[in-house]
Amino acid sequence: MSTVSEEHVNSTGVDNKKLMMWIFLGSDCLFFGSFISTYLVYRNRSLSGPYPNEILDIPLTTVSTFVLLMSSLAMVLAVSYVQRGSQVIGRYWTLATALLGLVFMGFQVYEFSHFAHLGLTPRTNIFGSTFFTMTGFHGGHVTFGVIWLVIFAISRLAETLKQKMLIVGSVLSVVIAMTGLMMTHTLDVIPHIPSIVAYSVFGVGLLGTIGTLFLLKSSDNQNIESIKKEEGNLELAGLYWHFVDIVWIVIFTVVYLISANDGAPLL
Amino acid sequence: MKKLFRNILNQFLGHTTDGYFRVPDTAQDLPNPKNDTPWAGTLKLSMDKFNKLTRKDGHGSPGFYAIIGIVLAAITLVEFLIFYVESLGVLLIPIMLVLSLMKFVIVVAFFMHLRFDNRVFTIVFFAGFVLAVVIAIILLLVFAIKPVFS
Repeated sequence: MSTVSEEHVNSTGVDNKKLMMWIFLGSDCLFFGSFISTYLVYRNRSLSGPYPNEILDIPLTTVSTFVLLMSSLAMVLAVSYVQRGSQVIGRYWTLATALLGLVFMGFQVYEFSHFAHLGLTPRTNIFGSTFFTMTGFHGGHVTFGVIWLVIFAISRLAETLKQKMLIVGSVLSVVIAMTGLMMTHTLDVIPHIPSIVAYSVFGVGLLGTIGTLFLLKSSDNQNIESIKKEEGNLELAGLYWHFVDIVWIVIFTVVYLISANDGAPLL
Repeated sequence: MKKLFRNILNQFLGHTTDGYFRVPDTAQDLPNPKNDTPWAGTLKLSMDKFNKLTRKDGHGSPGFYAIIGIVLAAITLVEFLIFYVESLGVLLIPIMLVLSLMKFVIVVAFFMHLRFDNRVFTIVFFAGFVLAVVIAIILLLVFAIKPVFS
């Protein structure tokens, strides 16, 4: 409930909350910096496989990196539109950011389970330990960000109960649609699911998503004053989200692009 | 846009728009020469244009952010394509680091608004970032001198 204009006068001349967020992000640089440097120190030192060149999938991770970059774009558009007073568009972009974050997490869950199937766990070797610790903590940050954004969209960007219910409904519909999509891809693995059920779940989720988003648009009350109050808080969530993105930019380069050809150590 | 290019070309060539080359009769004709920077002011002119574009109302427009998003996607595509060029060898590492640094700076400067915002935020953030990079480099040097499996 605070904007820059409502803040107490302070010696720094900037918003206290925003300064706190930047200090936190500076300290988080040290947090992830320690993980990344630990990974580099122990690079090429695994005594047993699987080694990075046997399991890392560069095309797949490039797609997930692209998804996270686009979520950053959606986030900056959400902040930009809210600052311009466009309530409904800002709300949509906030939900789009959370959705793209969910898709990125889907990629990571798939990657982790795929690696576990290939025999790489945090216990297997030093590559597994450093890799899962670093990407796991990053995934934790993304998950926290998604929860933050969805709660923000429900509790702050929506005024009436109807709008809040529609946002909950749209997020649930997206999850149902994603579940249906995953079921259609596992029909050969799990033969007990009839294909009609999988496609029905996907269809219901898709219709629910389109319907709730349409109703959300038509229930807009265009109360610009109420939304303007929240632009500072949304900007904080945006800063956090972009930081998660830049951490992934570094991890993608260091772990995936540079180390992808690492094999057994030369002892 | 056409005018901008013509302007840059004119400044670069020291050419006036009335069809004559600008040749001063005396030193007093150009008391404060505008084009005394490298490349006859082209660099300064481009920077002025860039500053004007990125400092509009303290924030970029949605279209500007979309362009930044396309640039980020393009850099990621270039990284992906370069990864499969086998002839690069060891050169791959510095190229990848430079490309990722470019993405890092673009996101921090424009998406996180550091370019438009108070300088205090830049100082606070980069204090942590530089410290992290320095510690990482020192750690790598220490382990490079004395390997753990010797």
